[in-house]
Amino acid sequence: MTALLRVESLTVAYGPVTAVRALDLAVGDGEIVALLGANGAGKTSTLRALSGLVRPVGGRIRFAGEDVTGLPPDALVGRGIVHVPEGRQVFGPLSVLENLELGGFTQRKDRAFLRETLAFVFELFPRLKERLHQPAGTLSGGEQQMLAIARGLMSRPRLLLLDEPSMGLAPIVVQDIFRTLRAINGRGTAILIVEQNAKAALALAHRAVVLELGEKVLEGPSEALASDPRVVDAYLAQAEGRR
Amino acid sequence: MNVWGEQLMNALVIGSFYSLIALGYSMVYGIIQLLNFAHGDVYMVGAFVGYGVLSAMSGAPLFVGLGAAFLFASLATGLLGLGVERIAYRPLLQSSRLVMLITAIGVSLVLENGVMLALGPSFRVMPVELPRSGLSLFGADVTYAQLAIIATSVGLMLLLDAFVRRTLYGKAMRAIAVNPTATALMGIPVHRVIALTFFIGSFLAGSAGVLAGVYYGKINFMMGFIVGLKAFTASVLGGIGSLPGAMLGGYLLGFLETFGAAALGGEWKDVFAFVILILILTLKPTGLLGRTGTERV
Ligand SMILES: Nc1ncnc2c1ncn2[C@@H]1O[C@H](COP(=O)(O)OP(=O)(O)OP(=O)(O)O)[C@@H](O)[C@H]1O
Ligand SMILES: [Mg+2]
Repeated sequence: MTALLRVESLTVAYGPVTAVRALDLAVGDGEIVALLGANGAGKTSTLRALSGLVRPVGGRIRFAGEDVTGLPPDALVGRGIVHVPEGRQVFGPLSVLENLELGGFTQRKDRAFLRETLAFVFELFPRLKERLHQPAGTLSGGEQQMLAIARGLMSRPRLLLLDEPSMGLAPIVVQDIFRTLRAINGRGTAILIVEQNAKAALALAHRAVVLELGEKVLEGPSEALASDPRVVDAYLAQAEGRR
Repeated sequence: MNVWGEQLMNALVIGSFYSLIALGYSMVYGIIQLLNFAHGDVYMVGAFVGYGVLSAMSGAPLFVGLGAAFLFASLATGLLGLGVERIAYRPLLQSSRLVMLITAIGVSLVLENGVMLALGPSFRVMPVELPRSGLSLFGADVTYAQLAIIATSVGLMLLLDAFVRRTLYGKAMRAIAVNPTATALMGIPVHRVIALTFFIGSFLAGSAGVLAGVYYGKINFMMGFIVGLKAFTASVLGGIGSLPGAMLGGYLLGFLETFGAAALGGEWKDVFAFVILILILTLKPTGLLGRTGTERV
């Protein structure tokens, strides 16, 4: 598989705190990769570097054959990398439709593209269509997560970076959202997904990478990791116990 | 003669000036949480640019001169706002709000003293005479100039409202006020939208400056100081960050001041604004239409 995203020796630091250290990571065209790890492992920091929210202190990021290291977020969205942040972060006072329109900002001149994309996201998330003119802040948690993903899809990214889409949602809603993620991937969008819910993420992803204190400690096909005792002990057994 | 009717017109005129300036305070606060204390001086610069245009066009017909002064001064102050944002505020966006506030006071001093050094400290008389003609409304004498000022101001406010609610850049402004990071993740160039906000806010202050300069007839480098503080009061009264609040606060302050001065005597005029500011800050810091967990811009 040709790599859509290739990250070499990525290092992210906040002043004296190094959050990600010399990380190598690749996401193939059309692939789903899960990024797992405990709290503070550096998962969000990795996504923030990939979407240009923080400038890496070291390493290189190549996307679709181009060096995109250190580009600002608007340039990266324009090239097809979209980051759906942790905690949804929809624009609460703005309507659902306005949130979606902002998601399509980089394509604002192409009305036909926006119309088609809007129809596409309504097909994926029919609930949003019923709530089009409602302030996004009044949606339920699950609906807000749907909106956050739909908003990210409005520029039709080639790579979607998802940070904990299951956070705070009921299991049935999580199932629904993960089913939709599979459908999105089925249309050719590659996904890099960060999850606390390792079980769901491993079931969705083709491959997974495990971070610990900013460093990659494990990598492999999802099925292999799902039965790896180190993963079972650290991320799956305890998660089972909680439920 | 209907004295109250005439006071009402005065209140609407002065309220228009306060509202136009208060909008810029509120927009900038909404988007980057900066109390831009140089904003009153932008109003002053608008009046001086208008003075320059009118002096240069002294031979032209009155309306041509006024129109040119209005357009040119508003655009020039809009550009001034862009420059100030780029040079003084953008490098500090990541630093504390106190640092930005002190910078804003610095910008204010630069603008005031710059104009004073270039053009002198004395009052200048605007080189136009507004026609005193008008009409009688319910027994009150109303000049066409007053009506034109009120109509222009309200027109600008309606345009701003449509811009913020209907255009994509207006929506981006509201999004930044809620969450600048998430806005950047949409691929929206956040700095460009902030710059646009400064342009619009300064444009409106500059328009108020020319209108007020022409209406009162005299301008000076300190004219933005008290008016700026009052417009700030108006935006706090309406709820800083809220655009309808800024408009409401501006007109409300215009009314309180005009009728208060009529009742108690002109020397009390400036006291009202500051009593209101203190009352609002102690009793209801979010202002009349201030945000209760919802929209700021
Ligand atoms: N803005 C910041 N300033 C300083 N340190 C930070 C900042 N953001 C994150 N860190 C630190 O970087 C490390 C990695 O944080 P990060 O948010 O990437 O972890 P994470 O894997 O996403 O964790 P979680 O599962 O809790 O979301 C942590 O030690 C964190 O304290
Ligand atoms: Mg995180």
